[in-house]
Amino acid sequence: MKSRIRNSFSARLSFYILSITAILFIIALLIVAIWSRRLIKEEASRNATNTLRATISDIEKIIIDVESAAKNNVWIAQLQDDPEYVYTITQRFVAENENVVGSTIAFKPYHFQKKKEWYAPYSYKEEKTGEILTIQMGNENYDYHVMEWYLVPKLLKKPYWSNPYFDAGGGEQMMSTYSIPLMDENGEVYAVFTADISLKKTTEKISRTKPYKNSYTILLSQNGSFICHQSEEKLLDETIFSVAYKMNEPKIAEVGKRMVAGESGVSEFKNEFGNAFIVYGGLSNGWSAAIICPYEDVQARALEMNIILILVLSLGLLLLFILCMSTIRQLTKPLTEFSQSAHEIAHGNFNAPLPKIVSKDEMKQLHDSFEYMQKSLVNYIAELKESTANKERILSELSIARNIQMNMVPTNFDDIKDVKIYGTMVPAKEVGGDLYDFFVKDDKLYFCIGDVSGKGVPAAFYMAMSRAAFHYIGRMDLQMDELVSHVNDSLADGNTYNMFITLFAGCLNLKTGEFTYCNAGHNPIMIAPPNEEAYYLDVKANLALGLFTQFPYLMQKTTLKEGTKIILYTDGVTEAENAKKDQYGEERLKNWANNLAKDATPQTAVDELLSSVRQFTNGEPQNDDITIFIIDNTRKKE
Amino acid sequence: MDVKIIKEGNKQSVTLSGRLDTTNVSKFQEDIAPLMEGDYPNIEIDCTDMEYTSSQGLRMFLILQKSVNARNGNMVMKNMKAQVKEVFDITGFSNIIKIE
Repeated sequence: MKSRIRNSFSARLSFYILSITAILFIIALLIVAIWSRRLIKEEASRNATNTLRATISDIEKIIIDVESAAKNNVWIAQLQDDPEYVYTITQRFVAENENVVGSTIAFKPYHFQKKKEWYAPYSYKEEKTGEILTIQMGNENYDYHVMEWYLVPKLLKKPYWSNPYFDAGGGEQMMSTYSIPLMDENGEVYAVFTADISLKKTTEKISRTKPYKNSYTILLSQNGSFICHQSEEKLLDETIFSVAYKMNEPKIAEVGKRMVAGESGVSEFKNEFGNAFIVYGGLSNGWSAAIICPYEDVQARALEMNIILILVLSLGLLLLFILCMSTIRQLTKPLTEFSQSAHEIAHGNFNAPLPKIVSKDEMKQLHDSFEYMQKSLVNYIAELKESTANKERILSELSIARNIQMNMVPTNFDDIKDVKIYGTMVPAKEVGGDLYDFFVKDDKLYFCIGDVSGKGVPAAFYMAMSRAAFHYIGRMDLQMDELVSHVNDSLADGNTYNMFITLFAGCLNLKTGEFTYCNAGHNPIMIAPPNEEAYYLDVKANLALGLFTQFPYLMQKTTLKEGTKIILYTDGVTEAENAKKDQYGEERLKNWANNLAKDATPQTAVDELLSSVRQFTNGEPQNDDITIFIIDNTRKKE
Repeated sequence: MDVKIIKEGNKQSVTLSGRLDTTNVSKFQEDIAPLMEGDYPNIEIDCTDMEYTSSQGLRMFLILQKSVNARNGNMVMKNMKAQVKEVFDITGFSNIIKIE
């Protein structure tokens, strides 16, 4: 997966988007969590308060119901002076009032003469059957005259709700009694009319409404003892203050004080479930009710909400990821196709199909660029092919031209009688501007060497013209000056481009050694006589050929001993350069000539000079055409 | 090959320096184009720092000389180094170009 994410653009982009979204989600979640915690706390408090209010109103209903029922029956109770009929009254009172589980009219001692110290007919509902039973309650063991429910209202002379107690003598259950003192015309209390309510039932009733799983409702009497509590043992022995003392939680005592004072409010404390809050409120009869809610329960709801939120968000993120992946993959699909096209193009298929782009975005730009590249490539390759073809054609033509040119200069030196000759021409480019030529006529050797200004094709044309001119004019039995003048005129005519050629032309009488020559701006040739030092032939420069017609060329004359070598060369030899830009030079050429073996044939000499030059340049490119032409006027032995 | 041309009235003073060979002969032809214009030119070429000329370079001087001749002008090359002068001498160009 990791490598897939790294390799796939869509996955990577989706991953980035998702990461950012997830971070935002988490931040939102945290805010919601904190906020919801507070909200839920407030909501819980409100909820509990409402529940409490409902509970209080329920209890009030029971109290009012019992109180008003009792008050309504007071006159009936007062009417009776038949002790036996009191049974019927209490019996009917219990039967007619649902909330009343027991009732008595307890008389002061000896109220009825025929009765004894205790007279209190007590009717109650049998808990299981609901049958109404009536007993006479007071006796030595059950002296109600000292009991709270009897004594307090008697002394106060007003109705009174008793603290909870376990009624062992009558109802056999936890109960609280509402007592109304019955007074005679003198204002003396002669009996107490009571209505019992079952605290068990009340507890059950108020415990039914629980805002939270572990929350519970308590009911306190006016002195802080528990009227209703989920744990029954607390009812008899404990007050809220004793609980506070046991738990060492002064906050509970504080709440207890407020409750006893009949205040209502919200408070927090620690109970056996940890932190909890309590909402409390007073009742009309001096009791107070409270609901205790552990925070754990409250926050459990917040946690539940957060878990749902996380689940929903996670699902959302997953959906977003899938959506991103598929959308981006769809969007970038052309990239993959472009990559394939590029691959094909790279392999030479310039018309490789491109993905179809209908959008007008960057993808379209890429498409257009690709299309443009394809067209350009096709054009470029076409041009390249054409230019390559042209180049090849030119090269092949040049190669042919070179062959033609190399055949213009003599290459067969063996057929010459009486004299040993050898020459070679090495153009710097395919074709060159050097030339040499010779022929024998009437025991005379006519020869020349020349060098056209420039190199390459233009020089080669001029070389061909010069060679042709010498070749034909040379056979006209002219003196050398006349020959050169004619050649000059023929070359200068129409030479608007101002090409020129330096030329040395000579005529050696093979029998006498008489040597006539005419130089037209060429390098002085070298004469190497046998047993003497070589020297550069004294030549008049005159002027290179082809520049001015009618230029007065002057001829010179000398005699060469038999065995003399005539060494002709072009400036490609003397101006050959090495890496240091030093030239081969005339001095080095002269030294070479002096060191040349006496019996060296012209061919050996030509090869040696060429290799001497090559050795000097030591691999540097040849700048100029090189021509070497050597004549040895030793007679051939017949 | 560096070419500097200073024109003073009808007289043009040219200073050449460096080598004139195949590689820069075309540029040289462009450089001396201003010398090919005007009647009765009077051109003085200082060759003190000219190191070398190939035969193609010679051709340029020849073309210039012919142009000057056609316009009934005057051209002179001065202070030529020995090795350069030798090329002019061997080819006979000293015969058609005035060298001082």
